[in-house]
Amino acid sequence: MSRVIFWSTVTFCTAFLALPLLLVWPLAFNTSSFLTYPLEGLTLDWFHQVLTQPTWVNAFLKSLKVALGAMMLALAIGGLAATGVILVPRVLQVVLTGLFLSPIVVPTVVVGVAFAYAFGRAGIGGGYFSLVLAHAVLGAPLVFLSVLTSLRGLDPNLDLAGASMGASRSYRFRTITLPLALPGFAAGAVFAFITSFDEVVVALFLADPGSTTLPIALFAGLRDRLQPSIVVVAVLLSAVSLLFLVLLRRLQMRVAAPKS
Amino acid sequence: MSSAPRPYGSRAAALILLMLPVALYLLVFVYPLSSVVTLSVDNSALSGRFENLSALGTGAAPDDEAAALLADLGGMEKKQLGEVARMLNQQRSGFRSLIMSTGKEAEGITPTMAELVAFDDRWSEPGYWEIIRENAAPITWKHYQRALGITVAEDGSLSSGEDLYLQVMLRTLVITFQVTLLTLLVGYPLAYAAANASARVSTFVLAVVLLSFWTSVLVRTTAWVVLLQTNGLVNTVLVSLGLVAEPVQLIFNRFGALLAMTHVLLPFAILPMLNVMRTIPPSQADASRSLGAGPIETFLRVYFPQTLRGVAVGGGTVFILSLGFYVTPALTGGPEDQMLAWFIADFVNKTLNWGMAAALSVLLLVMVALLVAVAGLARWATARRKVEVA
Amino acid sequence: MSFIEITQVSKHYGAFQALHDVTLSIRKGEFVTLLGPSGSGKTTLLKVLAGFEPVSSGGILLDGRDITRVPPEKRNFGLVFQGYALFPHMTVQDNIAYPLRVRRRPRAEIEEQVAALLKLVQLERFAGRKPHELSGGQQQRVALARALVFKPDLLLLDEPMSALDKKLRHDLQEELRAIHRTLGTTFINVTHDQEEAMHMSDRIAVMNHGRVEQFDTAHTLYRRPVSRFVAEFVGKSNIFPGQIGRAAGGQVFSGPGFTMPVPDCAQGEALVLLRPEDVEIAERAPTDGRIAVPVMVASSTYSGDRALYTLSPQAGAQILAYGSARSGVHPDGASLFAIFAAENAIVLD
Repeated sequence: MSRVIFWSTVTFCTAFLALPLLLVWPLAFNTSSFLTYPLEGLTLDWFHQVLTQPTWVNAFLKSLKVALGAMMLALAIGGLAATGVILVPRVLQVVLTGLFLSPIVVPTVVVGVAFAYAFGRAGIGGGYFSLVLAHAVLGAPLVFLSVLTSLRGLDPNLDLAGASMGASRSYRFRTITLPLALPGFAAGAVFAFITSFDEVVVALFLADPGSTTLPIALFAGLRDRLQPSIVVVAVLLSAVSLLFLVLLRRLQMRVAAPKS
Repeated sequence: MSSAPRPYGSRAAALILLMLPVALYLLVFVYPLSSVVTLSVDNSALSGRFENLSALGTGAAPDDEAAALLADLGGMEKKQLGEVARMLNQQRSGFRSLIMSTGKEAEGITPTMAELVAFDDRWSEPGYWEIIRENAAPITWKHYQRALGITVAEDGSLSSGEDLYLQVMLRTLVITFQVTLLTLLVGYPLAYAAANASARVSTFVLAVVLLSFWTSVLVRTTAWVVLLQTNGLVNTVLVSLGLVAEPVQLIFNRFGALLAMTHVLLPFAILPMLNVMRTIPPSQADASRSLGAGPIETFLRVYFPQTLRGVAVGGGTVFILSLGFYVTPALTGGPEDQMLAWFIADFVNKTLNWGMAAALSVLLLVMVALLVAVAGLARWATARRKVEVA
Repeated sequence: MSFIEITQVSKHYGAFQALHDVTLSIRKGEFVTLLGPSGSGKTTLLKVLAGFEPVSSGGILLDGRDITRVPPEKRNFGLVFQGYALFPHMTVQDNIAYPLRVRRRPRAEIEEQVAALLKLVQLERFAGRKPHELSGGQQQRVALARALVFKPDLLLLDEPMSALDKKLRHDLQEELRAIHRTLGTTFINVTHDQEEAMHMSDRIAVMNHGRVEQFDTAHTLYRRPVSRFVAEFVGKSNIFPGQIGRAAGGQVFSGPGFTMPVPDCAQGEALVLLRPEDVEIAERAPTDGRIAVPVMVASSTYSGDRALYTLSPQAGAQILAYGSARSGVHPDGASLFAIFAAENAIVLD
């Protein structure tokens, strides 16, 4: 009896989590412009429409550029922060970790208000540079966490072994610590990229009309009118996420492998 | 020997490594956040326009005040005058016309109180003067008063006034509680299945959870908008099954908002619970069963208590994220379901009232900070208990 | 003159003192083992020698040169870690070449040295493998080769055998001993396994509670231990508490159930040590003047060539004795005599 209840609960919950996406994706291929079932026929017209429409293509390219820039900056900030933080005394470590992680906790709307106001006053304004800067701040904690985790996972004896063989601190860092923490950097980069690529709230506050990213375009489209092109964009975004999920799994496999 | 030797000579290296990130964080994150706090009490945009009046201070003679006001208004350009009138009008309607008319004629009015009242007898009402005097000061609490629904009476006593934003905060908390509860209820069985079911089932459930986690909030919200619309799939099914005669409103109301928010935040509840559940060895349940406890008793007395830490972390994460949630409720809720974040964005985008946006931001931030502090305290307490036991 | 001179080294961790005035003097080319139970300070002493832990007081001389404050990377000591600490991202070859690359040796020399060391530890075929593709014993050899390739002044080994099974451990002990003879490098090994220590070492420093109890050859430690701790930690032992007093003809030790003459030493309470192989068992008491204590067999463990008996005397603690097992083992409960000669007994202070 309890097994029946358990399995029906799990089935229901899994369906709740999975079905919305699985049901909506096929609608992007529906011949009809009404976003509902039954499908009238299959077509790639809507994809063609989206991929040839400059608004969507430009937004996609803009998102890509912003995400790449934000990823690089976040990687630098978060990576430096993590490699530095493990060297300081414990109390300082707690304080600095709090500082470096704080952007995760602050609601994105508040971050948006803060950036829009501060950047506006600093004269950076809305546009590519301010978006990259803002998204880098959102991505840096994820890089920090990912790199810190992989650094903490290293056997401290490896560093001591390097020292006993005569290697200086910087030589050890270059030849032992950095190569072994590389998967952590890579995973952090993936996190930072996808965070920026999907980010909409802060972007809404910062972007001027010339720097509309894909999520902003999608958000605006949703408020405007539901049409197949929106579903197509959603499918494309999901595909990008899926790609990165696979990439991340690969990275985690590589981290796990040497331990086995 | 757990005294892991700290790498020697590391102080200088740490300093060099940390210099850039700390500087950037302070400049690009901490400074903007702190500027939101100052913005919420900053009144320099108005007080700067009333230089003479603010130089006068409190308790000045009425004639001096009238003179200072006329000098200030007369000194403004037309555009500035319009701005001042707009900002003051936010606090009391009728102010716009009063300021505009007085400002245009400021140089022609003899600078005494009697002449000013003769020009427009609204100047005899203390209410207008109260607002003017308040705004001549560089720091103001008016945004917080408005946000918390506090009215300052003419004699300075406080009373509760229009409590729109208190209601919004209450609504935000209620929705957040509901969403947290729903995610935990739906998430717990899923986390349990991912941790304990057979390899095939757990892999499948985990894949669904991770796919959902990695798909952007906006995309998943889009799915719900598509499904729940008037002619959407859900309504089609309901009608064709004969459960309803005609399509019902499923979206742009509380139902749609709760449904979509629960779905969007679900992975954040599941993953922490799953992490904890994975550390519980299955042999424990076998041990409990072998000692004579039934499956339900085993679950309640052996398994569930150990997962509470994961439930707390997952619930806390969802709670914090939900408090500041913007995208999903904005797209799936109705006007009566909007949360604090929506009003913050609205103040910035529509009325350009940065002061109110900042004040509401600070209040939201305080709520989040309180919760984080409680979480930190709980962690500290459990860590201490463990130390004492050891 | 000694090669390594450790003088009155102490090490504190807050209120806890891990090393108390440790003084050791080690000759060039010697194989020394630091032996002790966990928490005895042997690993701390090794870390102090390697330079990972600064001393609280005292000093270390290497060939007359003070190295107390020299950082580890400047000491030129090889170190084999307990878990080997092989670099997981490098091949066996690269692991061994690491200390030479650090020293910027020419490529040809590096190749030559690495090949020589791979031959020494018999891992030529595994040069291109990653550490996780090797067995525990092979990993240990890589660690050894890596620590020796740069011709260190001193090789430190931190419980190098602890992760290996018994058979493999024995083979590697032999091999380590052979490598030591070939190279002539000074080795300092840390272990809690007294058999390993006795197999390999020229001299053993027995450590307890942060102090060196005794530093001598295995034979001296076994036959002439200076304390009860050393007597019990090194080999199996019977220790009898009793009194030393004066009697007709000299001093006698009165133990539980027997008395025997002892050489001149302080009177009063004393402990007497008898190794199990010095105790014979027989069904009849001897008449040659040796001491015989009537006992009952409590239990026995048979190991082919002989049996180890646990014997219960009428008074006092149980006695361990080896007996020949060629014609069978005495059954539990059998009444026998434990026989030993007074000259084999060692009086402990």
